[in-house]
Formats: sequence, structure tokens, C-alpha cells
Amino acid sequence: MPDLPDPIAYAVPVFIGMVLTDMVLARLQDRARYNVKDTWTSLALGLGSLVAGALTSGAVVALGLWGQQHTPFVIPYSWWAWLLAFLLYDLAFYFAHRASHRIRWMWASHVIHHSSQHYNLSTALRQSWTGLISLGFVFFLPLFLMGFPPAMLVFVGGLNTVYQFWIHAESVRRMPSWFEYIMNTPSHHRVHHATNPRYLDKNYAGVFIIWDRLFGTFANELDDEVPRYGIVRNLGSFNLLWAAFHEWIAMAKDAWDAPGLKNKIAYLVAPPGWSHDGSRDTSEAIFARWATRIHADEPLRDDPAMGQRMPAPVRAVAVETTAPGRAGRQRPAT
Amino acid sequence: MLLSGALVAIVVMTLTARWLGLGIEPHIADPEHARRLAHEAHFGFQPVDIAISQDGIAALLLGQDDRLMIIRRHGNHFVARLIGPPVSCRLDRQKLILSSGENMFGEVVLDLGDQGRSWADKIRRMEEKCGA
Repeated sequence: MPDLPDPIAYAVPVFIGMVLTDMVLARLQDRARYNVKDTWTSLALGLGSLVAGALTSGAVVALGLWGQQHTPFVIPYSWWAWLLAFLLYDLAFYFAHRASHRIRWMWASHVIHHSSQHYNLSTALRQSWTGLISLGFVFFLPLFLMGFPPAMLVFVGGLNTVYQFWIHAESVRRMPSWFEYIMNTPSHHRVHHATNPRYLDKNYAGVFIIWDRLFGTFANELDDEVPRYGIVRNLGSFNLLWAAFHEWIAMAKDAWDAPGLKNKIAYLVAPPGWSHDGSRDTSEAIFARWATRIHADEPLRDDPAMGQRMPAPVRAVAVETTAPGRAGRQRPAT
Repeated sequence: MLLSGALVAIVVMTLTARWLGLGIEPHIADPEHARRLAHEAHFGFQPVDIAISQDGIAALLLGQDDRLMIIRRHGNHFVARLIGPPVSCRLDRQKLILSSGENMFGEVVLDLGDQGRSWADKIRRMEEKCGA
């Protein structure tokens, strides 16, 4: 196995330099972009994630090596394999990330990253402590079984992570349109971090935004709807441990208190916001309420691309999809 | 080594944010501002009565459906909770102190001046109505 460098280790000094530069920009442009306590919380959560990752990454790589030993396929270290590995790793990331927002067990881990009401480069470092427990790595195992060398996958995974750092910049407004069409950008990722009903559960991409366009989860950032960052029920606390474990605690309490085994399991695997008595809101419920209020006079219609009932004009505004066979190609209203 | 280096880096970045004076202390300007914050926190919540703390860092809103929402400052932003029933509240002179029911969210203190007593009575009547 070749001894490949760790892209993240090389990128860390650059990350620090970029955070400091972003802070100076915030001082000149908008001091509200950072808050000292929030920044400390984000960075300390990032440090905790580093420790958790060091303790658990060996287990994931060992699992990958085991997978590679039990597959008949062997992919060599060739240029096309590198490109394919980078592309497929990003596709696996898309599905893992989407699942992290749609399965509460996985959301309990990922929520850390969304728990800040700010969006800046320190938010990028606010990462999960419990990634191994939430089982997100399962989405990457097929790549090992396909015969990609584990070192290659670890390397492209590092590149993927490095790319995703800069897209947490609020100071970058829009990239050239061709770039916005193919790549994940600060604009697209701001939508992902937003709690505006229009933007909920959109833009799961890591590097290539094409996955969202392809699978019907893309939403454009609209100039007249500024993203509000955070989670639907913001924490109201800068406590590190609370940020790291609040959703695990809430989920355990819900499952414990729920009547019947079916409900208990549903509290673990249903989308965040699901409740057995319908007393809470999932993102679909929030979106539907918003769509109904905004377009009260228009009947809701089944929309396969969105997987829910919604007024057609809203979809035209909120979603741009290039998925063939998904009710045509929609462009955002101008 | 890596861990201590990372720790030094995050301390440097946090101190830089502090040195640069980053962050603001927002205030709830008027009832319309409070209404907008409530709307953003819980789409569909329609306040019919709004009280803003005299220091501008918290607000109490009574919804059309008799639900109460508290809003308080958190860093550069605001956070909100729909509370009760039952609502845990007490009046300390002109300050109305409401519990969110969550330890980590804590209590919200509203300096309502002359309105403090009337809001406390209003909440008490709502509680009696719920209990009836």
C-alpha cells in the first residue's frame, strides 16, 4: 500500500490562515458574522471531533480493509481510478449526508455541524463527535467492495473534506455561473445550513452540486430570501457537551417514553421532528405549512420531485432540478 | 503534539475574534421586530399581544391560539420557545420571570415596567382556563 500524504494535515495551516482572514473581513464588513463564544464553541467542537476521529478512524479503515480482502475486484492505481474514486466518494457522501438529515439516529450525530446560528469558516470546523456510532461510514463501504485501494479512498476522502471547508464562507457571494452549476459553492451550502422553510433539507452535496440537481434536492439561494442559519429549534446555549449530545439525549428520552415498540423504533429512525402523536414538525410539515400560507389560494398538488404535496409555483421558485422524468426542468422564477 | 497544536490554534483564533471586537448585541427594536422573530422561529405563529423587555433583549408573545412564545437574545441572534401550558412564571417587582421548561435554555427575564403585573395576571388567567 503506497504511503499517501494526508491532505487534511497539509490543509490545516491554510484553514487557520483563512479563518483569521475571514475574521478580518468580518471586522471590515459585518461584525455580526462572528461571535466570540460561538467561535470558541465551534472550534472546541472541532477539536473534540479531531480526538473522536483519531480514536475511531482506525476501526473504519479496518472495516474497509476487511471489505477489500473479501471482494473479487481489484482496481489499480491508475489515473482513471483516481478520478472515479473521487467522483464516487462524493456520490457516497451525498447519500450519507442526505441520510444524516433524514434518519434521526444519524441526525443526532450530524446536528452538531448545524447547531450554530452563524455561518462562517469556524462553523466548518464544528464537526461530529459520534460519527462512528451513527454509522455514516456504511455508505462508503461499497467503494471498498468495488476494489478501490483503501489508501486511495482515504486520500480522496481527505480532498473531499478539504474542499468543503471554503464553502462555509459567507463573505463569498456567487461564483461564475458555470462553476455554480457543477460545483458546490458557498451560495449552495448557505441554503443547506438555512432554516427558512423554503431551504430546509436541500443541497446535500459535498463537492459536486450535480447530485442535488440529479436527485431533486437542489434549491437556489434567492437574493430576496436571506438564509437564517441554525436548526429548527435552536439550542440557545454555547455549552459544548450540550451541543454534542443534546439530540442523542432527546432521542433516548423520546424512545423511552414512547408507547409501543413500533413508536420507540420510529423515534430512532424516522426523520427528525417525527412524533407518534403528530405534535411536532418534520421539515416536510414546516415546508407544507409555509407553502400553504404563502399560496393559500392555490391547491396543493402531488410533486414527485419534492416527494410531497405543494403548490406548483412554489416549486418553480424553490427548486431547480435537471432530473429526467421529474416533471420537466424547472428554473427558478426571476 | 497534534492535539496541543490544535488547542493553541483554536485559542489564537478565539482571541483574535475577541481582539477584533467581533460580535454584536442585538435588541428587539419594536413589536414588528418581535413579530418577525416569532414568525422566523415558528412559521405560522400569529401573535395578538406582544411585550418587549425594556432592555430589548427579550420578548413575550401571546399567540392567536392562546400559546405563549418567549424570545431571548443568544449571542448575535435570538432564540425562541413556545411554552406551556403549564407556564412557570413569577413576578419580581416589575420583572416577569418565565421558565422555558428546559434546563439548558434557562429562564427568561422580562423587565416589563408597568405591564409586568398585567401580563402575570393574563398568564394566570390562561392557566386557570387550561386547568378548568
